[in-house]
Amino acid sequence: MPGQRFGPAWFPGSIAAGLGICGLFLIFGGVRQGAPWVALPGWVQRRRPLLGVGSVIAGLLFYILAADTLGFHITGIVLLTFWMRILGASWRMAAVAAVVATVAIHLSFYKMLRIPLPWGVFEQWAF
Amino acid sequence: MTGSVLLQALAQVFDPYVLWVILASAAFGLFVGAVPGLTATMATALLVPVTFFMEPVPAIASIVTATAMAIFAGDIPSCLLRMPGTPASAAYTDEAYAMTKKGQGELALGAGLVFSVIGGLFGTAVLIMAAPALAEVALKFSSFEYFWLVVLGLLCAVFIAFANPLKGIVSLLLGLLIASVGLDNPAGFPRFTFGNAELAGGLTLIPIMIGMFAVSEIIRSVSRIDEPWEMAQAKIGNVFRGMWTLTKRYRTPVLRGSVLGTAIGVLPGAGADIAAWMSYALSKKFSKEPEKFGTGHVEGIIEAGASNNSALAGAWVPALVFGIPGDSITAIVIGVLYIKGLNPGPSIFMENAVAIYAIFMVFILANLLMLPLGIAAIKSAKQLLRAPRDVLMPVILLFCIVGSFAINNSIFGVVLMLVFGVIAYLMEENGFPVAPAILGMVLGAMLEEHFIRAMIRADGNFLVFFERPIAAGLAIAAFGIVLWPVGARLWRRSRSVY
Amino acid sequence: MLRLAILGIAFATLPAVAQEKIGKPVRLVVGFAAGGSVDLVARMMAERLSPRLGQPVIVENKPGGFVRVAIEAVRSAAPDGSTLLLTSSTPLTVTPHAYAKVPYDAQRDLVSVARLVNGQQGFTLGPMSGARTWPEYVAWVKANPDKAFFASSGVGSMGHLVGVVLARTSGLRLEHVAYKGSGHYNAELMGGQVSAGISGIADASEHHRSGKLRIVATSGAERSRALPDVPTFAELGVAMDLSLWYGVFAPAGTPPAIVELLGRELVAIVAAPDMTERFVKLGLDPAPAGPQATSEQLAADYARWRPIVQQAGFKLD
Repeated sequence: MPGQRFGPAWFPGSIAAGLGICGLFLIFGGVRQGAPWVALPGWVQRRRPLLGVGSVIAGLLFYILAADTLGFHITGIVLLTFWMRILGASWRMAAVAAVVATVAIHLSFYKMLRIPLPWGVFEQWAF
Repeated sequence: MTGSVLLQALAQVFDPYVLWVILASAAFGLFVGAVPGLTATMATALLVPVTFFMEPVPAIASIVTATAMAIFAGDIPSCLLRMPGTPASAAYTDEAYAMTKKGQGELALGAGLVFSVIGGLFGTAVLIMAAPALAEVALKFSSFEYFWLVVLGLLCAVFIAFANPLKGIVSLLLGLLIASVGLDNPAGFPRFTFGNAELAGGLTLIPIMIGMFAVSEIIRSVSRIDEPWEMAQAKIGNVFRGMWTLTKRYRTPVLRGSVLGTAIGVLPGAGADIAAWMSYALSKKFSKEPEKFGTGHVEGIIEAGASNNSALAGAWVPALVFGIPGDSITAIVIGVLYIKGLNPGPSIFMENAVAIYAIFMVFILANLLMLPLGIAAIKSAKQLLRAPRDVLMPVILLFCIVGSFAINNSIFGVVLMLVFGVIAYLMEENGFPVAPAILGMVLGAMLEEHFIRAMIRADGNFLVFFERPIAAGLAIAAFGIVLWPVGARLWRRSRSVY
Repeated sequence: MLRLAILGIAFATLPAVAQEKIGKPVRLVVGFAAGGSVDLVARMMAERLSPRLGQPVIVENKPGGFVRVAIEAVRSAAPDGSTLLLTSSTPLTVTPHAYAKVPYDAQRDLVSVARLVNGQQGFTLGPMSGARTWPEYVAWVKANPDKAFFASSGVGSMGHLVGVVLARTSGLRLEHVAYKGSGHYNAELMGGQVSAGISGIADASEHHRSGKLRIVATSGAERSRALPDVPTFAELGVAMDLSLWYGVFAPAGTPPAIVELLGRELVAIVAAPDMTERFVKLGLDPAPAGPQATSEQLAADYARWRPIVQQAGFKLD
């Protein structure tokens, strides 16, 4: 077929080539400036930021793994409470805000926008 | 013709039920646009089942209003939180956020609102006056023209990367690479899918956009948790203060943005997001103060804001005249038109004149309505963001999770959000801008599709790409953009020798 | 005692009967982007199905790989009736024969729920060739062999196959250009960039009526009800009987009771007179059939298409 020598591999291939060339330029530039190969940002030394960032990532992983089984409500409330506590909120504030926010988000997305958030444990009471 | 038709159309639009529908749709559009991850196209798709039970005029009115609001509403979280609510806002998120950090958030949002309205009204005027003629011109665009247009759009990304063009290009190439994942390419060949069904569908833009802007910003914010939290904001006063001065000072950008936005909207398949990117880049290119871009300068926001709203109206030109979608929103709208018996085509202006005029009036009404509703939205957003950081950020993060899930109803979206959030954080810490990557993703598929199709028609001969007049013109513009700075620098150097 | 036992058994079986309800919103997955004729049919069906099921029915567009992404999504979904596929029969009965290996098997991975409508492909001409009938177009192709491209809505689509069969049986050189759906190529067809397009009648019928485009022939055995004045290729002397149908499918393992329920409702919707009228306007011929009949048609078609595809030399990899 005419023009078919530009098959499916052509596009990503050219991009990869471009990336390779740019990468080389960047490396040369960096080596000339005497920059180290790997550098860690300053905040990993301090406890609170490290804990904070770690909890963001851990929390997201928790949602990915648990939301379908536990359902949106439980996962959302647990997650919000966890995050709020890490950031310094009181137990009462965190619990109340977590429940209100989770329920509000669920109602507006499920009822109004028809997004099927997982029911999980509450499957039988789904409405 | 016109007298009685206009009156009838007026009566149809100012019917209490229709007005109520418009108001409700506006609120809906504002909500959907403001939540990162929910797009104007989604708002349209969600409205379709609701419109089944309505007459044609309120049905179309609801979609027109909701989308106009949604495109503006995407600017609110984009400006205040650096989380674009829709891809169209992603073009100037960093600029708007920089303004917020300088305490000028109200100016950024106000300008975004006012000039969105102006752009929308301009696009509507063009739609009303010149739709059939423009549609004929749009038909002249073939894959060759589209290819050069996309190339131009991509080169715009190089302008948006201020500090380091090389890193901007890398970011862009990364975006293009992401776009090539999946089954959805001209050959229908699975690329980078590793046999995974999710990957076969490609990496969706929205969750990645949320991850790259919102999640990376949250990570950055949390990493600075030791530092005091400042929502550096004066109180929102009169949003309109200073708008007249701005209008006079930036007459040309507003006009240019509206014209370009409408033109891109008219082209089938290109919509508000591409318009916003190109306008932002053009704004910097032709500005008298290009060095201010990136530090929190309102000019780019004015031009791009006008552009994306005018593109919405422009997209209705091919949709109404030919039943060909001008963007993803009108693709859905055309279906609704058919269902309501308003068959798009040249005959629609004769056979359904009343309905068409009613639709035009709704366009005008919706754009005007954006002013009071937009202000209300801005003020409520400010109030909401007064909440303490420790409660606010987790809730925002949960919104992001749901937004990433919502686009495909798949948890894979959340995975993408997390992965690219981390990647974007690392990128930005190393000085790589994130915006070009997003643009690369938006345009990657179009670039390949048009290149391959044009090549098939050209029988493998690249020179054919320059044969058609419009294509040649766009190609010259593209080469010009690349060679101009080089040429200018050589010119200056040669002059300074003497 | 016995009466109590019988009553007890009756109550115990109640939940089993009640299982016939689908307890959550239903996703109707479509393998094309919003706005095409399959998407339109899906939205029409969703509108009517929702009140009948008492659940919101939402259309989900999962374009890519000519319905492949959508098929994947549905076949790996939970088999409880909440995920359905609405597609033309082409990717299930025709496309698999054109590849050496396909990652899905419609008869194994899906269960047929209902057949909705029959459809034909229309051969549509734009202004590029100046031809208004098939014989005129043939003359133009012979005079301009390098310019004769035909557009289809995707690699492996029925339009693609029709074009390939056409090229073989008529001996014309027709090169294929794939687009992502008819919306994209209708613009180029009307603008005179590509001379012809082949896809479902619905994609061009409005333009045919307004005169911007001309459908000069259809691919089925009989003239379409929507275009009674357009001849079939068979009438024009080109042997062809290539048509397709739209059907709804569920993942394999969906309980028969639910399949029966959905099938009944879908058939009832299609049979309604105003739906019939809408379909005909779209160029589709209503042909409702329930799960059993649809399943048999699927199997029969899968067997029928293999020799046709192979004889046409329709190979895609």
